[in-house]
Amino acid sequence: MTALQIAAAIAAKEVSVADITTQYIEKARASANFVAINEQAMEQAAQVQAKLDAGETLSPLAGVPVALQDNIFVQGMPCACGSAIMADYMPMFDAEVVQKLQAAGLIVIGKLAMNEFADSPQAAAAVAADEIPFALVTDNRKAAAQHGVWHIKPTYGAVSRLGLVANVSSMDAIGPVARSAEDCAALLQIIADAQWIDLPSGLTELPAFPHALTACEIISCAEAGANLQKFDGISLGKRSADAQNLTETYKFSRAQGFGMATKRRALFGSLMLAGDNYELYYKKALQVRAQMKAALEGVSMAELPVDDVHNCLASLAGLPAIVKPDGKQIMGAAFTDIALAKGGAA
Amino acid sequence: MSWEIVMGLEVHAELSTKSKIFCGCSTEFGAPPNTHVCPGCAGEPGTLPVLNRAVVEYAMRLGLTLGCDITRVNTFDRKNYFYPDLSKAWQTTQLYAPVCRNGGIGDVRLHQIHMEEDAGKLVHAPDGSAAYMDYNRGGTPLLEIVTKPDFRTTEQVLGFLETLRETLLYLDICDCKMQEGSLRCDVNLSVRPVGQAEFGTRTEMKNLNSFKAIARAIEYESKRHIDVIERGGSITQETRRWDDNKGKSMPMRNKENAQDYRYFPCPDIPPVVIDDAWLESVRATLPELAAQKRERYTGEYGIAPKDAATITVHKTISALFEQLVELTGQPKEAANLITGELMRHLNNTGTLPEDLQVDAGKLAQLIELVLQGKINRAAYKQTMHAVFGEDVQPMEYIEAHGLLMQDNSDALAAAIAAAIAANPKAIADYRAGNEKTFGFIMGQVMKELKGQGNPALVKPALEAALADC
Ligand SMILES: [Zn+2]
Repeated sequence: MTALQIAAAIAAKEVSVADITTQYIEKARASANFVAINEQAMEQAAQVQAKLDAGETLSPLAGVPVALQDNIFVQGMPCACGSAIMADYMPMFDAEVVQKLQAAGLIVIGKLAMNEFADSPQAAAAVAADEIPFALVTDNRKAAAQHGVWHIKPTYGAVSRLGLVANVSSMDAIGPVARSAEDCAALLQIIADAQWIDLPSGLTELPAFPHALTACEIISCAEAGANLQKFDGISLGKRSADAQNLTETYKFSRAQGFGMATKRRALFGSLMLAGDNYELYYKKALQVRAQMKAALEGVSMAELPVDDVHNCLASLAGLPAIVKPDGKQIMGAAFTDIALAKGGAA
Repeated sequence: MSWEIVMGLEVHAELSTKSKIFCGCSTEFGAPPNTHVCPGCAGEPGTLPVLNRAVVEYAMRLGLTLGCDITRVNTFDRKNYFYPDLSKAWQTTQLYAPVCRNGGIGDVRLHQIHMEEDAGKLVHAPDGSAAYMDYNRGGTPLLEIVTKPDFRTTEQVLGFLETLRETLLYLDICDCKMQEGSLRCDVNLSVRPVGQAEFGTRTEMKNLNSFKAIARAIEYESKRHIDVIERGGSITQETRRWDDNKGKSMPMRNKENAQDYRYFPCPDIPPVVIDDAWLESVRATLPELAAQKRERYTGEYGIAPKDAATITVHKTISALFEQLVELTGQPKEAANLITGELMRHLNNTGTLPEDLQVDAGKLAQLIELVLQGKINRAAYKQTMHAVFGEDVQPMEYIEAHGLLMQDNSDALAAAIAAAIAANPKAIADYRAGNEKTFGFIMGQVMKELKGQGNPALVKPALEAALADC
């Protein structure tokens, strides 16, 4: 069943929220894709059921189980971002999207594994295998295409980043992974704060942006590297037991806490900002980004392959992109996310 | 060879906004460690900065007052470095678009003024065994005021800082307590032979905690430069820490000197646009500054320039003065009260002007009492100090201490009669035309009244009595 079908069955009292929650918690416990289970889920299911029984209208997705990539905060559940450096990290507050999910009566089942500070193939796999009806992730286009599920990388700024561990601050966007376009749209409408617009017209041919990928690499590695600096073994980040002084605390904690891919990105990003490189590379990357954004102003919609070269366009320009089960993505104008999902479903 | 010293300043002013620059935490000084901290200013992941617009307004106030060009599209940048006082491992500052450019104070030109956040404080255990972090100060808003290298003498530096301090105080944007670190100054210094156009190699001195320390540090560092160069050496461009106890500057650990801050635009803070309406609304509420007040006090009230300077030494004092003038309509009495008894009180008790707490209404009441002749000057001063010290109710105090002047006519008549009877020689002298004796007789009457006679009443009554007898 899709998420909307589950919601309809709950609304029609064909199934209880508790039954559905139990069913998906069991699946999650048995799955290697989950890193943590929400132990409050059954209690929350009972509360939602009580509200529904009292005649409250919560949302079109009330009572439906949902999972979160492990870079989104749920108070009381650890958040590790797939990294040893955040292994013991307990968030101090709920992410804004989690507050919205709870207000809408969705039940958070648990957290999904992820590549260290990156995407979550596990989220796409879990949705594809119906271990969860749908999930919230950050840009997960490659994994969604590989697993043949729907995914919206939303317009930048449409969904709050409060309670999301920052990776690339100027591109990070929380969006849904689901088994139908309608589920994606329904979930996005619950978590977003946006004035959606309709698609102005049909598909457009895109000009070539030869430097886009390089610009995207420079900016995303620089931002990610800077964002990860705070995990230094002092107040954040698992402190190395081997460190004898301040310098060693930084060196050993970070050397032991980060994986190789993360280190490579952080080092490359740091290099791009060092000394004259800011003017030589980073500033040029910002210029490429600005020119690209301007060039994409008039574009309504374009179908593109899912790969680094094409993914970076929506990332840099902050535009929405929807990945379809056929492995293609459609990039649209800003705030046409819902229209894209409807168009994709048609 | 004779040498010229060239200096520029970097002044950090901690702003007195109620909350921090990017979160709602209080900026209050002296709270128990880590009590004014939230996930945001603790640098927790998942948090986002929300700019406190009051900080931008404070920057505009200073910029408009100092004749700066105000940047209309303000952006913030990240300055990256690892140090425990910086929980995020970056400081949010303005590198590429500082809020103010140009402007100046007198002959000194400003390079720029920018907004940034302060770091936390590292507290070392007395035995050196551990260090603790206090993040209360982290995220407190700062304005960094950077001058051009326009200073040639210590006097210029101190004069500039005094005017800047006065301006910040009167704009009500910084409490300027150097001892609490709310006003901090770094001095960039180099020397060159008189007549040479190029600048010498400069050093930057940090940790200057008082005007006195600044003066000593400049003297020490300029001598050191000249000494090194005259002995054939060369100055290394570096940051040095002033040690006021040793009276020496020392190079800071190499880390501070070889630092690459890898600045880049902060992706979390959208540009802040200052439009005409906002700018003009700030301009319209700029307060009167100390120099303008001095001009008004001397011009409008006829107060001596020296006294006007004393009254404007701090905003709390000039505010008290203006309240007293408003309540009594007696600017000269008010000025005398402040430059005389109030200053004596501050000196005697070691109270800083900013810590002064006094009820202007009570002082105004005292001014009225003395002018109406209800108390004499001695009682006026005595009661005033009781108001300063214990915040007494003036009338209660005056009555309890028997300071109210006698204007009981029976008692006065009796006192005059007694004085005349007791001093026949003086009366005879007076009658013989020696008018100077009047003062003596007057004194005797006052003595009879135990000092509580009202001279304004005693004098005519005594004159009449002497004419009659
Ligand atoms: Zn805070």
